[in-house]
Amino acid sequence: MKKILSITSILFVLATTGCQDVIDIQPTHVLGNSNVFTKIEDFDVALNGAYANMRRLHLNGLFTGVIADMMSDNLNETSESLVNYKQITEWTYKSDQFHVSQTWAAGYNLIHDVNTVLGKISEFTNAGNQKVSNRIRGQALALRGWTHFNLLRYYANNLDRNSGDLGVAIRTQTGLDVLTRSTVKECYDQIYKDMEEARQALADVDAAVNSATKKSRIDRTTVTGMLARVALYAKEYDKAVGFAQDVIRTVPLATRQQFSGIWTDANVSEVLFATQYNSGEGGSTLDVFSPASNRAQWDPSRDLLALYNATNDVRYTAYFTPTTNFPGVSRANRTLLVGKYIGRGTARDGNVNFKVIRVSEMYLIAAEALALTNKGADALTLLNTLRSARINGFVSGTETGANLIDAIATERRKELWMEGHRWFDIKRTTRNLQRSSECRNSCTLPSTNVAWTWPIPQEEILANAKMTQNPGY
Amino acid sequence: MKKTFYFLLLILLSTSLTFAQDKSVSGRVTSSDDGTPIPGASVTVKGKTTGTTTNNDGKFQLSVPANAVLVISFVGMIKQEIAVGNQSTIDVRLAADTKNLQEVVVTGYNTVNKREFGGSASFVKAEQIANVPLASFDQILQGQAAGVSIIANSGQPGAAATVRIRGIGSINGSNNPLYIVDGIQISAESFATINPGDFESITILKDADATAIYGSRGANGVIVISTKRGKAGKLQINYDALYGQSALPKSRLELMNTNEKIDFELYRIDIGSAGSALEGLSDAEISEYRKVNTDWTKELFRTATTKQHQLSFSGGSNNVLYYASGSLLDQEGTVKSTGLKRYTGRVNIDANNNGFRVVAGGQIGWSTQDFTTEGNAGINSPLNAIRWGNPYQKPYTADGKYEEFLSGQPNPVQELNESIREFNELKGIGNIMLEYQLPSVKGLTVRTNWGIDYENTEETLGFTRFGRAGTGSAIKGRAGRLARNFGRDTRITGTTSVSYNKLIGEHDLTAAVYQEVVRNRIAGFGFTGYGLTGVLQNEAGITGNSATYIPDTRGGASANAIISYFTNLKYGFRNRYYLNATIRRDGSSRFGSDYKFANFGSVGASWVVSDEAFMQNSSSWLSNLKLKLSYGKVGNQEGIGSFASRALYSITGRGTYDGGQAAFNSQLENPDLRWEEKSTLNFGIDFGLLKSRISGTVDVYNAKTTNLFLNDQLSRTTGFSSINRNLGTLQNRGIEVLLNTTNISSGGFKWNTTINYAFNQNKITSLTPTTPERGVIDGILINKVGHAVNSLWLVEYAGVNPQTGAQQFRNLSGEVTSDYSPNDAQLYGPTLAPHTGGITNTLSFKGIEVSALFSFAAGNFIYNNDRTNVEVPDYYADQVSRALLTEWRKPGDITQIPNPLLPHRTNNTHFMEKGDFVRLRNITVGYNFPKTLLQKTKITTARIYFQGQNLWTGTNFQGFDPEIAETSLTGAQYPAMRQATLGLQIGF
Repeated sequence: MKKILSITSILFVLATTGCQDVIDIQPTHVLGNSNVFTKIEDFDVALNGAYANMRRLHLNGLFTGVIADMMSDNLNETSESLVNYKQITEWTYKSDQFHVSQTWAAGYNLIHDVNTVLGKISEFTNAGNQKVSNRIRGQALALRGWTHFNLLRYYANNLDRNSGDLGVAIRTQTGLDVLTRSTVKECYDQIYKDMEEARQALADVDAAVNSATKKSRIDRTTVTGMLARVALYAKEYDKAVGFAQDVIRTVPLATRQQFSGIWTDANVSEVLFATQYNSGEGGSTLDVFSPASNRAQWDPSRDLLALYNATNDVRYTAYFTPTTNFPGVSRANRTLLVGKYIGRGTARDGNVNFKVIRVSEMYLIAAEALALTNKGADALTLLNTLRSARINGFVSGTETGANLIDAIATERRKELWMEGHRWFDIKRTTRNLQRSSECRNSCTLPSTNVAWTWPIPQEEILANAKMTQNPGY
Repeated sequence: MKKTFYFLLLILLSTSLTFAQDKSVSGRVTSSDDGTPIPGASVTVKGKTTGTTTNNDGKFQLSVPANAVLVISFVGMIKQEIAVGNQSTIDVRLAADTKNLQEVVVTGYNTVNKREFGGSASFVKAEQIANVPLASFDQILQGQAAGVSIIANSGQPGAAATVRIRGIGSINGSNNPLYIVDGIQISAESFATINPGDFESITILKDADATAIYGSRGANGVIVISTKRGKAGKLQINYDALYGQSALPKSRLELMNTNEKIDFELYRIDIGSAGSALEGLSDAEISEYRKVNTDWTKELFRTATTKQHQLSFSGGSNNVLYYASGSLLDQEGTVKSTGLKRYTGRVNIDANNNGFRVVAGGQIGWSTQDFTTEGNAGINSPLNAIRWGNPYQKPYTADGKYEEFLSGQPNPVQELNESIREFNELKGIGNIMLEYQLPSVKGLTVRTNWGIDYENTEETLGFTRFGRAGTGSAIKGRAGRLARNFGRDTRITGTTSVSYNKLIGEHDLTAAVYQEVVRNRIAGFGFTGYGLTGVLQNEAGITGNSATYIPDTRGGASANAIISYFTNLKYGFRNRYYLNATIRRDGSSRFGSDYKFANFGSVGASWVVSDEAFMQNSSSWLSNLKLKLSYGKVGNQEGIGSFASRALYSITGRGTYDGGQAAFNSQLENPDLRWEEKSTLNFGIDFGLLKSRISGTVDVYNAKTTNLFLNDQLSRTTGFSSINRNLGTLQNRGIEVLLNTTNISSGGFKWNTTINYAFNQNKITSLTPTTPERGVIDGILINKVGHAVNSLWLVEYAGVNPQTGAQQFRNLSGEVTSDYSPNDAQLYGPTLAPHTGGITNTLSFKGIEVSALFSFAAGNFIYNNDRTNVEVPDYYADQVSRALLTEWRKPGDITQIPNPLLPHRTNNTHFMEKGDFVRLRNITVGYNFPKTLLQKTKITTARIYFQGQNLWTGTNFQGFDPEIAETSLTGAQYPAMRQATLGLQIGF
């Protein structure tokens, strides 16, 4: 009997002590601090994470993309609209608006992604892999500068280079500390710093970032193009011309034959950087027109269409598609749908890359900057080059002065339609927004309206006592 | 070990040895209940080892000495002693020991005499839950137990309810109670493949004293289920069958008819409100549409049938008891093409021999569910179409094709027909318990119980190339897709204990030590294939080896475990004073190394006042009075991620980028995360008046959760919106009343009433100092000190400005303004009903029994997002609420519905509604065939009954069903079914 007792007690003791490690469980299908970065190549995977993040709705998936066209006079909301973005596109947002909050949060989430890379990569960098490190670090720095710039466009009122007005919070390290808003000037300082450093790093890399057939990443030329855009917004015109010309010298414009192929990803002519959408990964403009479900929530606005030469302009057929191509639903009084992002090749699913920056924008940046600094003749040459490239049989224009500046703005609207520029172009040139003639409600927005600056999200204000709200909210 | 074997052999032999006796007696042991023979009953001579057992006919024969006293005993029956005297034939009728059955509390680890129990618990008996035609047993508990809030949520066959015991004790952690079947933990909210017909009893443990033994797992209460065990005696066979029909309840949210809707759209087009698909149509076309008036609920819903069969066997002898059952349930959903089929089998064996006890039980179940998506606001959910589908559209065109909607919305009939949503589950629950009562040390018991809850699931999501969902832009090749997801969830529970019981005079002492491990591992994988271009809509229909249709694969796994050591001490004195104490130490894999372990414990005392000598004078009216007091602390770690304390980097969450793997920081490091702790003080009174014609229980409690898991809001500039931290404290205070009354009991007529009522007040008592004074706001939800958790955060609606038609709001200074500001939001709550309960009245007369259960909940608010979907003026391209007929049109109009041309805000109280309801949850009319009628047949019992579920609901909530667990009714609600059932029960 004693034996039974002792056996049971031994069993009991075994059971109690032998199981202690049952609660030491390591994750197997997700990485942790100990194994996410073990060698420099791991940072490529993390950088991919940041690029993949850009596909989401509140980044290039819409809100740092074509929302700028939806908010402006470029598009007209149709009866097929689910009106999910009405508060944004009719400028009635307040600080609790969901998309206003998410656009802010998504931007900083992307910044966190690249800060994760930037904070750790130096530990793994040595003489032998310096060029690998440069390639990764350069892209990460460019993304950080670019994302801060995108946030600044929405949440800052005054975009001038040396403005003392409030910009956005600058986040250069991962961490849970709360930040205040820096001035617009301080933001530009950081954006320039990051992007100049990126340009430097990307000049000395182990392997080309992009190839002749793929522009899915930010290479040195892309950074230069991005800097041109930043300088234009900052009204640093000489700088803008310099950066833009740099790109123009490197990358040619597409031929008229190549042009339509850009939009079906048949070629990457004049594309500097496009967010890659592979099969099954959706697209960036599905809430404007989803060819797969045949839902056209927004149409090209009538006044915009009138600006094109329908027969000779290659953009007309590349950008617009007749409603007869997508029959089935009643589309009375509508002739053209948004045809710029129908799909790859002959597919009709909207699954195409989102072109973030193209060389034609460089012509327009340089032209605008030159025109504004009394170099009208040089500006006109660039403008004519672009127009001739697009319009068959184009007779060179002779605009000067204010007409030239208007012509550049018009061409900008026509060329960069549905690439996320229009709202900001009106904002940075402080003009009134007047929607197209078919518009019936919420058709005008004076340049003085508070809506030109988005409110700092309520959620941020509540969680961060150091955050200041924009005037008018 | 060898010695043990010999010892056992010896014991076995000794029992079969008989000695020469003086006299022979024979007889028959039968049940006093129905006169059936009891085989296997023990017949012994008092004070001797002499004895025998009855044979299959209940007969026995035994030689006894002169003046012998026979002891006749049988499990579950009252033991009888009979002096033999001159008798040579002794027939014994044993009565069932119902007193003993009713008065134990099953804690899952052991059974405690209810008398000694100082904790707070509710009891639900088998007959209360058997044969209710709901596939998920938790749904059946509604209104049955005080302080247990059961929110049905969904009428989809097999859908689990939301169960909350004594309110919400955690915000970020789990609030699900712990479910224990025969000592083994089973998954919460996953009961579609379990047959409630196998349940013998359900005990709901509510306070710290009752749940302390579960420590970290018991913070939200424990639902302990005991399955049916064999009953010794002759083989009993029971057969139950039911057939029922169910239908959709009435919706209180009225929508426009065709003419109203077309006129409304034409008016809107006229005033320049963009969005109508009728714009530009000719008068002739519009008048064609006027001829249609589709009721989309009719197109999507049906009268559904439910069929159930169950066969069970039970029997055994004194040494071995068995129970076996098989069941089949076939329940159609009220939404076309939905339904559940379930097949289960269970075997339970109890074996006893000389201090050794082996209890083994297992159920295996298979269910296959056809479901539809619910609880969302997506346009592809067919259930949303009953709100959004315009009445002037038809499911099919004249030539039999699916009609394409003018508004561009998907045709719900098309989406329902062209999709497959199936969920198969194989579920196995089994346990084996070995117990040994050491003969050398009386009162010492060693026990180990190991069990598994295993789920193997297979989900199929298929969309043909003929529907919208199968041809969307995310579908490669846009020719349909088929996804299958396989999952495996394994939870192993092992408990080993040594307990010692000693009776010294008037002192009854039990001490036990336990060790327990619960380990849970979930793993899964799946694929999505594209190009369902062939005839077959299964794997064989996928186009393989094509660049257009590259399939996707996926997989994942995670695991967590807890380990516990605890000791339990029970002390009873003079059968009236009881003390119960538990001390335990729990370790969880979810926390960082510094915070893995925590200590918990409880102490409870009870006093049976009515047994005191000084109470004997009042025994005529006060038959029972017991006071209970307990205090204890338990922990919570469920509901947070398995690796909640670590920084995690996902390589699957964002897909790939340009063909390469993409990693990102998906979770912040959180090394300070630790156990959430809940302390409960409970005071209770059990009473019985007038010979227990009135009996009941009143419990008062105060529960406090400290180190509350809460999403601490982060500055979004960190890249994250929040982090789960142990912030603040939460209080749940309440009272629970259970009252059983026998109103009339005379001349065969009986009227019983059971009332249970609970009031729970939920309040956040502190948050971290870094939280803004305003509280933690997340969209329309707020958690703020002094208020209930997850309260609504909305701006007060103040009607429509008669001059402009603008929405008006009341700002914080009380002024009515058309200028909307989120800064004017105020708190509205609670969102979980503070008042819940149920009333059951049972009338019986000569075998006829009528019982009705009303359940109710009151005092909560719901944000009706489903209503915004048909009231937001901009959404008028689709079907809208009839309320919009009163839309503001011209200055001077007095209405609640604003001018559609002005900005419209929905985060206001106009869309907040009261969630109060009273519901006739169940009504049963049953008839037991009298024994006299059955005597000539082999049938021993027979009953037929009619049952109605949810036949009537009283509420003002504008929707199908006010039973919503979330704070907001999102959309696509699958309302609880109204059911009528006929059933038959036969026993052989």
